[in-house]
Amino acid sequence: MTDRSLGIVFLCISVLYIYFASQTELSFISDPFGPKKFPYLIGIILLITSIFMILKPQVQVIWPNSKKTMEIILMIFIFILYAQLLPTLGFIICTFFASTLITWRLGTPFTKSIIFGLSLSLSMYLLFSVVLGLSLARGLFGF
Amino acid sequence: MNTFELLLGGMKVAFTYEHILLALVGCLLGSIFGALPGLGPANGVAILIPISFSLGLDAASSMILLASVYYGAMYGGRISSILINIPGDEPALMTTLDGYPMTKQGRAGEALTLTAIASFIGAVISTIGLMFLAPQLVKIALLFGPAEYFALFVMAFATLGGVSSNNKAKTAFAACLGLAVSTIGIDGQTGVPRLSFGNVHFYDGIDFLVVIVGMFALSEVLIFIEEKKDNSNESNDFNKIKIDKIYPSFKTIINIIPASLRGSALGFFAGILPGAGASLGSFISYTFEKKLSNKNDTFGKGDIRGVAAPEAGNNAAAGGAMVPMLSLGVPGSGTTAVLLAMLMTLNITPGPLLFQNNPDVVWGLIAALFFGNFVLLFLNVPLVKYFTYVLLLPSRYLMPIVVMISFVGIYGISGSSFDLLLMIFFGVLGWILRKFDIPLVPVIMGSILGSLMETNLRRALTISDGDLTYLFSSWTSIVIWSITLLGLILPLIYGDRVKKSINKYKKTNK
Repeated sequence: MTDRSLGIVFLCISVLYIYFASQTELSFISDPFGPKKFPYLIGIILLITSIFMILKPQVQVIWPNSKKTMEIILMIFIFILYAQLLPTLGFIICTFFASTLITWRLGTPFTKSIIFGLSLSLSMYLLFSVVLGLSLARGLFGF
Repeated sequence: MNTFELLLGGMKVAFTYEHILLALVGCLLGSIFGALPGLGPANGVAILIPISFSLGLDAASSMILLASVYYGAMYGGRISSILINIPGDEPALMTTLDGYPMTKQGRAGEALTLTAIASFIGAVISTIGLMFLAPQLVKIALLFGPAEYFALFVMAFATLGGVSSNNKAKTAFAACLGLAVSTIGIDGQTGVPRLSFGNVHFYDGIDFLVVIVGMFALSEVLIFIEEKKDNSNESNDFNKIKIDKIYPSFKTIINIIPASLRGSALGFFAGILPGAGASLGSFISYTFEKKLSNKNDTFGKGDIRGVAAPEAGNNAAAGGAMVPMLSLGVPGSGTTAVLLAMLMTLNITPGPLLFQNNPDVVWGLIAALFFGNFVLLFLNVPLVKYFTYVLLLPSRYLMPIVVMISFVGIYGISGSSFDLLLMIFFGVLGWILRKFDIPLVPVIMGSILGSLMETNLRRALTISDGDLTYLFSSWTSIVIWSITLLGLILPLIYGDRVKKSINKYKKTNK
């Protein structure tokens, strides 16, 4: 795969971008340049540079093998789950599970990962919440 | 008030308990970030911004903390270059050339000390330069109107990556991607929602901190998974290295001073130039020193001047890069862009007004940087052994820490899991873009500078009632536009040559 494919994707994105920018409703307050033209300008440069990549691809991208791809997708999934559950389950529980899983998937033995995950979530809670007074996600249980 | 009175005022700001503590913490963290391969000044500063913002630090305090991290990373980068031949951050690449041979000859301690001294010389000289040059630039910048500022922003993008930039089309593409992100949300001039798809979360726009942390921190983790070898036992050949004889003879120290001074001067100017940055600073310093002093063909085989020059160069470039960032509000490198983002988050617009309205920030920062350099010299000479232990921390433990701190920081700003999802999105996007060899710094600069750029453009056109020629009507703007043009044309002529010689060093390094 070369940058041609990226160019094609962003060709579509820039056309969509220009289209959505054109849908901006104008208000009664206005200035001579208006809110649409700056996005048009950006969109057009995006379009031209995308075409440039389609016409003159330079990089041959090597994607990771299927195993690595699964690992990456899993990692992104952990991130998303963390973001979704954080407000409900609270900082300590979420961070414990997430950091354990991440450490494990990065190649640490599972038991060591659990120990690391536990100590990381507790020490971060201590540092940020208790010492520095940062507001962390409290969740249903209050921590 | 003259410079010294101002500096004295700055010292009053810097030498409070809180600020001394922040400078110490910053220097320490910075040295660690720099020493760890895979984390550099930009990542380090990026993950700390949301934290310092959530802690409610004011502008002077957070600037002192983050600039200390920046300087610290510039010192720390050399440690792994010298000991394990892997640059701790990009600018430290040139230090491997003579630094690692010195280690192989059993002179690791000497190399570390000499580079720390060279770093110190570079950083102090560039801080002095910053102190005198920035106010001069401010005087010029006071004459700038919206048209000139718009031209200046265009120049910053056009010259980004400097002469070594790979591909102008890709830089432009990346910059526009960032600018496109900045246009999302309610239009500041007329108050209409734009490109927000009716989603309330987008009305406030996308916080550039979300973009920065996603791209600089999370994408790093994805890259790490990809490059990780299966069942690898991380090589600890580093354990075999003994660091003894930390203190070289006085004569050796004297010997590196000329090289360090030359490196500092070159690095400082490379730092000021838009889009050049620290990597180019150390590159220029090394090649110049090699041309000048390589009489007996000792360079590349452990010549002390070969480690001193690039280290002085990259530290000086860090100070140089602060000049346009503070006085014009135009960052020239990834790290200064991130520092700028921090100021803007606190509703402070860098530029000439910063010097007038918040002299405490500027001069407090400068005074703190002087202080920080002494701290760093102390951390990096007598205590350098302890930093080498940092290198033993495997990335599989480091990366989860980075991820969790990123989440904590972004969640701390807004308390919304929507922002966390956005951050993940930008992390993945950053990973994909890196696969296609698209630089991330322009994307980040675009998202930071976009709204300022548009505001200035529209103000200029409001003044001229829509007449586009107004953008080119003053001499100042014509000069800026011509520099922009040069910045676009010169790389086409010299780019290949510079790129080739940098790649040559990269290859010999591998």
